[in-house]
Amino acid sequence: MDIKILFLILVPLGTAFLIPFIDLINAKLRRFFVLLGILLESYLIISIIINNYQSLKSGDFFLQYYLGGWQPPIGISLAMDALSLVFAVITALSLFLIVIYSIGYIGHHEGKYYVLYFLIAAASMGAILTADMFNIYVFIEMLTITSGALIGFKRSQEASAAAIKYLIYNVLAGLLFFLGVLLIYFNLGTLNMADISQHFASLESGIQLFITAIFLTAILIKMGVFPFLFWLPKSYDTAPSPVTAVLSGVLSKVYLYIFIRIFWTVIGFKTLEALNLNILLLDLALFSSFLGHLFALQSDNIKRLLGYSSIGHIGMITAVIMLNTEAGFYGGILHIISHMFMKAGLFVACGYLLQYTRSHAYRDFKGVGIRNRSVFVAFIALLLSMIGMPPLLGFASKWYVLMAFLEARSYFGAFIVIFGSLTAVIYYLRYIAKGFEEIKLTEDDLKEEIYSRPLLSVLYREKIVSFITYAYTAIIIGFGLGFRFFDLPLRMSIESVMNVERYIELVLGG
Amino acid sequence: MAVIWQQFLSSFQFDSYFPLLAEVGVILTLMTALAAWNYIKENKFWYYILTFVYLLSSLVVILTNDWFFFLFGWEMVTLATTFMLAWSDWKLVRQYFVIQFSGSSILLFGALAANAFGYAKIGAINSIPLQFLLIMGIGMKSGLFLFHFWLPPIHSEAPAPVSAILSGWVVKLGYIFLLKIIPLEKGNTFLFLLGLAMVIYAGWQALRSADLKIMLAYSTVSQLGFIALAIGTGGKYAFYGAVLHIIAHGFAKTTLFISSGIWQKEYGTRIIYDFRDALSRRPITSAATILSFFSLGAVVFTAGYNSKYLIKSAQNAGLLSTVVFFLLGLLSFLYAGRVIYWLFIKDQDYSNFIKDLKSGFNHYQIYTHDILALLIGMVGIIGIGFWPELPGNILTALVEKDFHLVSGLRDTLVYLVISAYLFYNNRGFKVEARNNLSLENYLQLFLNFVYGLSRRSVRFDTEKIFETFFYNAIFNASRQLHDFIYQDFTIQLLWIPIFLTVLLLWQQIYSYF
Repeated sequence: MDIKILFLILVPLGTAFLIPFIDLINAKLRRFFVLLGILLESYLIISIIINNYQSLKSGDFFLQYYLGGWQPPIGISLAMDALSLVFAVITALSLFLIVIYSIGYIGHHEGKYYVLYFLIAAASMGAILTADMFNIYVFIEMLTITSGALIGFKRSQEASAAAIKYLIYNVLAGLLFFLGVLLIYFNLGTLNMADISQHFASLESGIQLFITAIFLTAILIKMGVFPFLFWLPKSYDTAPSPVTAVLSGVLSKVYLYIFIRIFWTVIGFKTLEALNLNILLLDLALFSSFLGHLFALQSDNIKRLLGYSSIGHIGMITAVIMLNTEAGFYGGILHIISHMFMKAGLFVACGYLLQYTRSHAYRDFKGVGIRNRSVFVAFIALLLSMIGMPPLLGFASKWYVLMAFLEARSYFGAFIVIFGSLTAVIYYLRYIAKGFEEIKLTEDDLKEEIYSRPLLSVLYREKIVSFITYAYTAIIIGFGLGFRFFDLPLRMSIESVMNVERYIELVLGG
Repeated sequence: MAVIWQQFLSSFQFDSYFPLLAEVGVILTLMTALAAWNYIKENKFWYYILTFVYLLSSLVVILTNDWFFFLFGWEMVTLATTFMLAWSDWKLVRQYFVIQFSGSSILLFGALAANAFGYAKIGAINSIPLQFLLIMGIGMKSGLFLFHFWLPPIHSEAPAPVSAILSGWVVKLGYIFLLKIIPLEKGNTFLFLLGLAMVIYAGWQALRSADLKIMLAYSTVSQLGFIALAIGTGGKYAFYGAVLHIIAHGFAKTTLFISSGIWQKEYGTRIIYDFRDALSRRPITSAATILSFFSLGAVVFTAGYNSKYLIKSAQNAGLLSTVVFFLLGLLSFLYAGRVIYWLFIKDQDYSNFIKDLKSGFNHYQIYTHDILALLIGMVGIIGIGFWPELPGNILTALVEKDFHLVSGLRDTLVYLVISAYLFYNNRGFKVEARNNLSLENYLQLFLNFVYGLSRRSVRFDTEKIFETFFYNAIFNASRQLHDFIYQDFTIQLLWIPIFLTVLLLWQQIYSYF
């Protein structure tokens, strides 16, 4: 029993509900309150790590909290093993950086924005920490609704269209997920993950197949893997930059976590193997990655391009995880971490670079690099990390992913990794060259540009926005040199993914 | 953190010829740094930072035996040299980066494949397919035959000190890597044949160049051919020859590119027919140029003679190899001698030589740094010419080796007579200077050829050619694929039931395969 992991969910939830009341007192106080909330969250994470440092080192880290004092399998419980810890830490770090960025960036309707933002924070923490199937469904729905609202945050026609498309897809996925949860409950009479995992093999194979297929469809829609990648680029494009950073940096990684949790802990990889679905999924994910990189080539919009490249990377991560080897998980989780920081950093930088342009289109990218030279250099560093150049974090993760594919003799996967970084060179270089092109503005252009500028408040703080971009670049460079820092957490999380029996024993017996 | 640091330090191997090569690399980088002091005018600080990064990472590449650190250093070399090209033109940076990155991607694939097949450390690799993959991987950076297409345009357009770095040492890193992975006893026939093709083709191109830097770039490819050929031959003396040739050519080519920068500043042109009174204007630069060309042409008592003799002696003795190597030597002597002929002999007036020398007439100021760099190069060439065993106990076997200096002298004289005859009868192989050699021009030639087959010839704007054709072709193709897959929203949603059905019926579908 450790109440701190409950507070990891409660603090952002409480912050979200208190923000409207703070607004009643004083709107300027809101920023400090938001900062307080996220600092409290970080404090909780840090104190969890420090208090359990010994058990982390010895490899038997496990925390649990029973809601209402009910023991599992009857009650809902929160459980934190090494995998959850790793994801919680990186999610919290990302959310922390993006909140500070938002303080500088979001100039209008701030109250609503922060409420939605902290609901996302609470829901992603909840989805990572919970050990209950239905609870996960609740948090997924919470993520869907709040992120849908944030995608439509600009209230333009495009944004609303993208938000509606996003909601249709994700609500359908939520519905399927709910159906899966119901089926599990009617067949096994329990909702606790560990309990389901214990008894799942005793089900009929037809039911097993149906439940697996439904969960698979639901989660693939959420992650944006091949047949369901259509909602992703559009919503990444129209959302404000910090929201896109959250979508790409946090949400897709939370869904990857849920994917790992459900298909390794709950359903079990052996079931997938028995149904021969692992081969299908591996190839599907690789094909999705291939398509993502190809589509990125034709994109005339920088944010949409980054969205397509996200599809490519998420497909690659899914595939390397589907190998179900230790090397695969090592590369996969390392790439999750590095992609989280790189993509969020890129979107953050985009938000700064595109602030004065008419649109996100390629032709308006002209001269961006000359106007904001230092941020553009950081942007280029992040792009170099995306294609995997040392001494940046992208190189280390690409190395381990490629090694995992080659050790498993999956040459298609290895080809996709190389192909991805080669096409990435082509499509990124085009934008870099455009960014350094000289512009000659006429008076009319200037007028048009000034009048069509997005609504930025007078409180817009340029320093904060550029500082966060540099912070992301510093993280990428620092961890690129010291990527072995992740060695211990990665090994711990692989241990907890691979060793399902231990998880069951700890959740049910603890 | 401590673990990776220890792993990094323990991965260095200080045996065999690699420490010697590392020392030479440091000396050559020092030479280019000296030459860059007056050549690079703006952002000098960043230039030296990049040089330093390049130096450290190239040392890692040479000395490490761990795949990860090797590729880390390799990519860092790519990055550092890429940004060094920015002192000339950003267009070059783009082209060089794309080419190098695609090359090192193949190398990354090959290295990890070797790692996955049980070669945990960099060492001799016996599997022929893996050797092939790794040779392809280093091909781009080291300009192996058919992969060398980028080398003459980029090496000739780069700033002179950067060309010296690229041509003098960066291209050699790949061969140093090959020295580690190709087993000493067997060699590799494929590499041997590639090397032979490089020597002949690039030698012929060098003979047909009017531009000094383009000629030097082609001669780099040609001399690299000798190294590839030596490594491909296999055997103790062939490998010694390769090591010595890497060092000898490193010194000669670095000196030549540094002096080419000086000549360019002095005359304002790179066409070799326009150089007048070179000897009296800049005697030391002239001496360095002549000596380095002697080394390229394998004249006795220079570094190039010793290394080429070793490579020659490692071949199977026989009439065929004697004749072939005689002709190869003649080819390099011809292209080296031709430049000397045009620079210092043809149409030169030496009647007032002493007077001109005393008056010291020159356009471009003589800097101490440049002179120092050239002197280091000259000392290197002559030093290796007389003491091929070099300091240290690595090449001690060469002390007893008989270099047959008399036959070398004889060959040199024969070459001299033949080339003198050819030059006087063919007007010194005077050819028109090619208008600017660049990768866009290659693409344009190709496109004109393709269009010429079908319709009228189309003139492309070379500045925009990548933008208009290359990108557009890719974008249109991927746009069509995109539009094919991105159908109407209802059809997009239709994927959900289709996917579910496929999953549910997957057992049946799977059983058909």
